[in-house]
Amino acid sequence: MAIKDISREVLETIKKMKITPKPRWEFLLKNYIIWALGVLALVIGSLATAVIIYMTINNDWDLYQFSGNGVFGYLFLSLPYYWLLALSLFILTAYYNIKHTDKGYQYDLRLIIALSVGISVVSGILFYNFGLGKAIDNIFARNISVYRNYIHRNPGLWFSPDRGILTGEITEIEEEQRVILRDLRGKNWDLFFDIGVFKFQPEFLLGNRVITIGEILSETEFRVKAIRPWVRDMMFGPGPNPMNKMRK
Amino acid sequence: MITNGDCRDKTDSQLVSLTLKNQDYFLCIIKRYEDKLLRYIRRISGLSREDAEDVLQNVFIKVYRNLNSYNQDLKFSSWIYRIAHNQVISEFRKKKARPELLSSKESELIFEFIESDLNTEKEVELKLLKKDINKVLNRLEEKYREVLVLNFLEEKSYQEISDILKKPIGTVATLISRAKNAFKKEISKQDIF
Repeated sequence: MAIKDISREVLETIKKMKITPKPRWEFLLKNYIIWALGVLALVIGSLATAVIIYMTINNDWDLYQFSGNGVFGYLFLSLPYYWLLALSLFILTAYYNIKHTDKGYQYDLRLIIALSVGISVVSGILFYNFGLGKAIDNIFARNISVYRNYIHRNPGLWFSPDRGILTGEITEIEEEQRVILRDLRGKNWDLFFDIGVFKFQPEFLLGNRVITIGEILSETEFRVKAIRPWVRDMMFGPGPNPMNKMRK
Repeated sequence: MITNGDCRDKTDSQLVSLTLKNQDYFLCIIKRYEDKLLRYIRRISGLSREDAEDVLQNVFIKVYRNLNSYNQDLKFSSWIYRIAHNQVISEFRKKKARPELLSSKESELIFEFIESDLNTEKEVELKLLKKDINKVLNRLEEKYREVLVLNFLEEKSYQEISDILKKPIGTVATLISRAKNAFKKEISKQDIF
């Protein structure tokens, strides 16, 4: 069989099919987009870290004894897993993008992951200090019901009337010291507040989900020693801060 | 028309720049690399000469199309080998080909390089051994065979192999070391020593 004249065939194909080199800007743009996506993933990962720090610090540590799980059990149950998952995904996205840049292959997997984690943690601490962790958590909690109900706080951890934790929505306010709460299972409770626990303005409370700490008085009655909003940053109006009461 | 004289004394990078201005200069690049790449493609693939030539044609067309993506920080030869390597992988996928046996001359060459690492005190009957080297090499996993071919037959440095295979240099070193170990293991399995 005759040996092909490859050079001739290649040049003929190029001319016949009018093949031209792709413009340089196309490659540069692709590379910039990959870098930009990698950096964006790192920024979002850092924001996720800020929320994780905020949620971990503001984890109602003073209430852990009511959960009946001990400090570590409480920590385990209340860790912000969805945010940790989001952080992992963005770190992987950053890794994937950096790996696919022009020279990304030269870097070791462990180095890129360690750098991505390091950058996310350091920037996450900075973002947390600027208040971004709190802001993001609250924006999500106020505007996304799934987030508010399942991610912002773990309902499984905050519903245990026998242990003195009752969570639900305030559906009715009859008078200043008597309030009706529909718990997470749909049961109605009469709440009786200890004097001085919480001087609220009803319009701030009605329709909101709250966590109450206290004890069961009867089948449908619950004595409230402290109350705090389900959404951490929600204001109940003027009056003593229920958090202070709990800490005493 | 471009002649050999126009190509001689020009570096690869210069030829890339010239080709981008005048496509006829691409002939210089083809002439400079066609034999090397054809040999390389055949060494790492299970393709016949005719199929390998088809692959090579596609390699050159890809090279031409992507000339503007060539980064001068990289050796041109590493870049063009990388395109050839990727093209072979895609042909593998298309044709589901099996790697062909290396020629016994090539196998012996690899053996001579690895032999110095074997550290055996036993007498080796080279004549007998060389017959089996081919089998040994072809029993190795694809990734090991590939680095042995690049390192010992194509005489590429670790850095160049890293650029061709797009793997970190540490990974290349590990692969080569494992390839040598796998090679020794295969030999001992066959009771050659």
